[in-house]
Amino acid sequence: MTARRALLEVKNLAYGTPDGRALVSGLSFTVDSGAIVAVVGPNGVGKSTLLQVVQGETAPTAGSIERAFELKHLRFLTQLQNREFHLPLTLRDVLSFSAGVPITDSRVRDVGLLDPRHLDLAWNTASGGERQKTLLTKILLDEPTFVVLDEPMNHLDADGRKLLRDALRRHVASDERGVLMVCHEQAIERDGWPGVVTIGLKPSAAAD
Amino acid sequence: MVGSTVLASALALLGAQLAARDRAMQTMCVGQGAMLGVLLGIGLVQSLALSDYAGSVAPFALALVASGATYAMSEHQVAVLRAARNTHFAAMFAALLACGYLVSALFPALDSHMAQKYFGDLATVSKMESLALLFAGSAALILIAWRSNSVSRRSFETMILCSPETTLRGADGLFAIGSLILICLSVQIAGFLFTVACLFVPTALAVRTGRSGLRRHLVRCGIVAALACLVGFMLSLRFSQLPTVPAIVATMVLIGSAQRF
Repeated sequence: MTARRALLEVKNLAYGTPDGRALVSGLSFTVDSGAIVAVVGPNGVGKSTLLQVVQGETAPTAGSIERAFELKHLRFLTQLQNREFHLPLTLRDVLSFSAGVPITDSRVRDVGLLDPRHLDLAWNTASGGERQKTLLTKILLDEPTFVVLDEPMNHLDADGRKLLRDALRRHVASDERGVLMVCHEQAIERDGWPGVVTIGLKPSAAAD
Repeated sequence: MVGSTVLASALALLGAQLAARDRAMQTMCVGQGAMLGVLLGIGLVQSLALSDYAGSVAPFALALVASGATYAMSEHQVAVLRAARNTHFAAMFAALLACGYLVSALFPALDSHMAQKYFGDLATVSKMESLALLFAGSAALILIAWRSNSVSRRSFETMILCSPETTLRGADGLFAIGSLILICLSVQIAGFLFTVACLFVPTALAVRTGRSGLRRHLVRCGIVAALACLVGFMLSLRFSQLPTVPAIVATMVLIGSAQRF
């Protein structure tokens, strides 16, 4: 078994909203290879902003972030905008947008979220859960070193959430990979994600 | 006729992507901005009695400047105002339309050009202009068809994954600049109506077929636009009272609607 190493190190991080309102301060945590880290907290506490800071899209007001990978090896899935798209894409079309090698049914099956028989469904008539699983599959097919997910359990039913948990575990089990996601605490407690490191964010008044 | 047919297909593929990025109304503004530049260019050329060469280049150059400025202003509005972008685009379109009419009042000689530039007349396109359409249309068609997967991916990421467009950098910049050039050339030679109809009628009607598949949709858009251009043009030649571009647009609507059956 290979030794774990830190893929992402966050030290004494502080950040706020674009209009200057402080959100979080003194935040420190590490995402090791093979780990799934879930940042939980109530609405408006700064979970999604943390993901922007981790990706370098928003500058922190204090602290540091060290990444042991290049940003091109990071894949981010934002909260699903569950809306229709003008072009009449199939789920297979969406997967074909993935970079790298061609999409085959066996590769989709290996990821374990989608049934390849459903790939010819239209994006615009697919359920929110099918859309979410398609986007998650698209990301995992790229085999990124580091995956960042914003509320990945949205739109998924209990079976879908279990499939997601297993898919993420398989993803981090091979090579040196890690996952950082934000979600609501109940989502982790409800389904039981053994081995997942949970970090709680508190509202700014408490954090400060 | 060949040049306008190829251009129609290229515009249809471009329009599918612009519609996918929710940019249809913004493109109307950009087209109207190009129209303003074209009218200003023709007015200046006629007033200053410039050479034939300047007569072709000045309207195109001014169309590029005016449409580029319109694009930049509309992008700024989207970035600053964030919400209800189509309301701002509609207001901008009305202002540009008024400006176009004001320009025609400044240059009385434009009276005879106004209707032609808005509604187009492909039968009076010169050989040089036809070659320009063929060259630009072919280049755009090949480029958009060849890069359809990556352009569609960016459209999808922009709308569904909220990935911001990198305005004038990289592939997004090439797409924006290429679109501006094609729209300006089309507005100047084929007219505003032809440009807007080829951009948005094929894709709007193709999505109503209810059949999914990216490639199928793009092929349908290209074929409907090309076929409508050919048939509409021939109809207007056969029936001399029939204006070219409205005949093409009517044919496009008929063929596009017939796809459902």
